Amino acid sequence: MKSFKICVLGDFSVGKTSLVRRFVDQAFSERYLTTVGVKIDTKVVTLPEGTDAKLILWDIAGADEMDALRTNYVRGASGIVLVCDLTRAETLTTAKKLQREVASRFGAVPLCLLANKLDLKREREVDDMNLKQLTDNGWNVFTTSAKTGQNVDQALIRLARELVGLPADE
Amino acid sequence: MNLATSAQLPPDIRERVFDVLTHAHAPQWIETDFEFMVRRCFGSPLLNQIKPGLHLTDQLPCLIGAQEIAPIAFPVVNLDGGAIVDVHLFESCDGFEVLLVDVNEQHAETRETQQQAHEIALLNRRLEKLTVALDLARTEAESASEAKSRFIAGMSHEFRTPLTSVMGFADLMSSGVATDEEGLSGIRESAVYLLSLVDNLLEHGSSDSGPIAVNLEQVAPDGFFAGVIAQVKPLADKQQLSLTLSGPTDTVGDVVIDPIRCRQILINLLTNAIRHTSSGGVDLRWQQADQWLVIDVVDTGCGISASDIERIFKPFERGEDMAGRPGAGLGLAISRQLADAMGGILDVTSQAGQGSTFTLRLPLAKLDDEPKVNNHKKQCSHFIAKVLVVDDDPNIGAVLRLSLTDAGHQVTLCRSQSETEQQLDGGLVPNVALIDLDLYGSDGLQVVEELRRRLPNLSVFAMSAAADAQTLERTRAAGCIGFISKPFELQELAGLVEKAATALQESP
Repeated sequence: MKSFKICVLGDFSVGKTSLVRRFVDQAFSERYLTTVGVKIDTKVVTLPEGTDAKLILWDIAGADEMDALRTNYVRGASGIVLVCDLTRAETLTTAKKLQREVASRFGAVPLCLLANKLDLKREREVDDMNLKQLTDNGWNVFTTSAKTGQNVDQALIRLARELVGLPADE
Repeated sequence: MNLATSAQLPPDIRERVFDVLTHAHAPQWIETDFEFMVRRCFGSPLLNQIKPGLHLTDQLPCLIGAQEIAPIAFPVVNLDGGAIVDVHLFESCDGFEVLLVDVNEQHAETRETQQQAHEIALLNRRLEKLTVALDLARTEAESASEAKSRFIAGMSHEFRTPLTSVMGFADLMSSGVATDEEGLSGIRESAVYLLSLVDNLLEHGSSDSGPIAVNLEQVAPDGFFAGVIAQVKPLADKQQLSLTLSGPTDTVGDVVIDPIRCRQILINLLTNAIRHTSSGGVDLRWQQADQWLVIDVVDTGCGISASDIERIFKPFERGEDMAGRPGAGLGLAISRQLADAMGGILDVTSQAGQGSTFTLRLPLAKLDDEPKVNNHKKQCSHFIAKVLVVDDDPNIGAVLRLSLTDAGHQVTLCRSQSETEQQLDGGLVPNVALIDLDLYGSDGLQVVEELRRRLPNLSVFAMSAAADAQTLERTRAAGCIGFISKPFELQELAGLVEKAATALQESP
């Protein structure tokens, strides 16, 4: 079974740890606990074609830039999950910045953007047009909710399929 | 001390340095093969389940795939169970050396500080959003307050102008300077304007307290529109404007609308059109299109600029070019609310300097039950009724007595409940009674109930200036057959009395 190192990057409090917890344990907590350093979880996903893939998820402490610490963490990554918060427009700007910095240091790495906190509809600041611009530029963008689980599995399985070389859709 | 200098140290010193650092940082040292299979493990038991023969990656998944990037250090790795370690990976001649250093204590404070910093940042951001929202709300409130202040200042002028006219004409008539025709025309014109002003103010006030009630009636459109035109004609005549009414050439049957609300809208539109037209004229055009009654009020006036088109439908707002012209800035707002309440649409097409066309579209409803009394059909009967009028206002009482007497009826006027009871005790037996609900010192409904008790066949109409749904329901419950809203058209009132008395005469 092939293993893939996937780094989860984004601004603080966008829901990176919650998304990983939802994906790995199917659980969610309302309490915000900041991540220091990195937390690593693994999950084996079985794809419908019969291919298994072991995803090593590096949940990296939130920041708005790729400093030396984060650059070290991302070294050797097969894929990147960028996360932004739909209720804070500036976190999308951070996600775009992080993507540029990753690309400049490590070249083209498969990535997807999870626009999180979809459940907080009334507080939403990032609209669909903002995200469509990214989709039009070739990004894989998913609006997600770690709280309800909406689109979380779909997003990471879509990335896993790309990493094992399967077409995007089943 | 760096690696280069430490390598030059004598072996015993190096061993001492190693002991000191080991004691200070309590590391765990693990030797593995190239597949991370554990060969040897010593030092502090940070990964306490590690034994020779096991894969180190099972407990330290950060090493998966790390063979190709060694030597490397991963600082601050959170392990399952809560430990935080720095992970150092070195390649040796026959595998890897992995050094784990416990950094839990160093990072406990970092975590707490970071948690607080993030929470404060999130709170600050929320505060900023709230501040923006509050600023917006305050700006809106200030704008509304300014509009209301402008309204109050303007309202004083709006009321005083027609009242001055009424008082002036009354004086001129008294002194014989103005003819009756001139004086009454002027007084009526001012009264019509005051009435629309009061109607709009009341409507605006009541719209805050709940939905607008719609009372549908069957109406003959020709008569209805002619009545509306007649009401505003003096205004048009005064400005020497033409005021025309055009409708379908074919005969059109009755329509079901709320005549009071519809009239209120049209009076607003027509008086606005007349006010803002200095030459030419105003045309009221109506037609039935599918299931809609479509009414256009077309004028050749000053028109409305594009920037003012939506603004003019907001309460207390008026077009930029309207300064100095009469109007409280309520008529169009109320009219649109009324149109909405009736399921209709009120819109405008206009350009500055090109005149305006206000279009009211009302859905044509159907009545489920019997049509109500049609106020706009002229009554024709020669039956003489005995009418009891109870009203504490001597002027209203006098107007009613003169009007009904002129129509051939016998009128008894009472000003209070006690006076009414004295008349009944004295043998008065009226056919029709008109009872003011707002009698000084008593409730008009008590008079109604007493009359109904004594004379069960008596036709009783309630009169009031408060024509809200609750009042209407109370009068129905008390046994009134109709409600007359003040102010009223004398001709309509006479028709109601006539019809009620005729019905009594024809009943077995």
